[in-house]
Amino acid sequence: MNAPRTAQCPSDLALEEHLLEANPATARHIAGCAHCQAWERSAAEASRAFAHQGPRWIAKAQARPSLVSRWAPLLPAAALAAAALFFFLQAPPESPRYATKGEALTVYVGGQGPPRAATDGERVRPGEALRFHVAPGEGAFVWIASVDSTGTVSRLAPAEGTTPLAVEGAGLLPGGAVLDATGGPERIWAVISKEPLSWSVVEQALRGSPVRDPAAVHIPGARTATVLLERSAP
Amino acid sequence: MRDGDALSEVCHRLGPAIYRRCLKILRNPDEAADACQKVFLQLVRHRSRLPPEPEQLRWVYVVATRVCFAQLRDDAWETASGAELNHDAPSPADSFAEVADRQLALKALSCATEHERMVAWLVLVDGHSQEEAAELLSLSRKTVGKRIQLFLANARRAVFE
Repeated sequence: MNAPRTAQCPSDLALEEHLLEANPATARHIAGCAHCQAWERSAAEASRAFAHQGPRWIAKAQARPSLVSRWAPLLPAAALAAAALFFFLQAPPESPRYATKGEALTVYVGGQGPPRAATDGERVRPGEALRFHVAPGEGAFVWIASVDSTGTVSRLAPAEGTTPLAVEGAGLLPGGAVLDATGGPERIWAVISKEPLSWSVVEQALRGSPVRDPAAVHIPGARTATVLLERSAP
Repeated sequence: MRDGDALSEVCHRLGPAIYRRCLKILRNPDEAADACQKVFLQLVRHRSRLPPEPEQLRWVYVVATRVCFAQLRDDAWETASGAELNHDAPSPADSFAEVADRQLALKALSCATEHERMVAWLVLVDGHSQEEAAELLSLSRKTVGKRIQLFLANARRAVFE
């Protein structure tokens, strides 16, 4: 049976310190204390056990890369994904919609700070990202396009394929656009139709249209909604 | 000396003390080995915070204590039995009195929080003064005193009621 600790016994930590650097007072105490002598014996036994396994544990701990370095290669991708999620998954803010001819089109602008719904004539900067929300109210097909000050038409959504996007009720459209360094006014168009229109019909109707006069555009079999953006040069 | 060499030297010099500390609290060589490796990992991760040599033993002693108590807590979650010190089974060499004392201590410990246990262990088992325990755990002496009182009150209730 182990002798009990007495009030004079050094603490465990003091005994450990004594093992690392002999302390005469502690040594004197141990010489006359059964409890501390038992402590010393069990310490020696544990040291022998450690001598067998310890170096392997130390090597293992030192070989193990840190949490940060283990995940470091994925950090840039994770940061990009987080930024994209922040922008694209954030609920569209409640904001006024700018539309013509009874159809709603909302252009969301994401850049520095939270995404914002563009007002008509909104100033936007190169590098900012655009997303589009349309609300045709019933099942419809939608093309999103832009026309710049020279009358040049750019297809924005869907970016690929031969058919427009099918939208039921209202929704944020997949995909989007990132503004380049071109300056000047740019008009965003949503072309909404009951029957799918081909891109060539839409492009032909929009090409050369005056950017500041939306009333000049008429597309047979389609309704339109539009928002004007003012692009500032870098 | 390179950073890695210095760290290796610290691990080898203090390794036996770390293992002894873990073995004393966990009383099971396999679990002490696990805890010991966790302490080494902490040393590797926090090498920049390692104090100068005279204080290193104290530092690893506290880290080992925290690691062991966290391990006991995690084991308790895993077994969901609340009797996480069950591995402290009596060995054939233990006398009846030792087993009885240990069971009493386990009963007392089982109704304490992790913080109370750690303080109680340092003061009542390791023989530190309340001031020393306060310094080791970066607590005030008053807090240590309160935790000891709470631990003893709960222990008495658990044992005698």
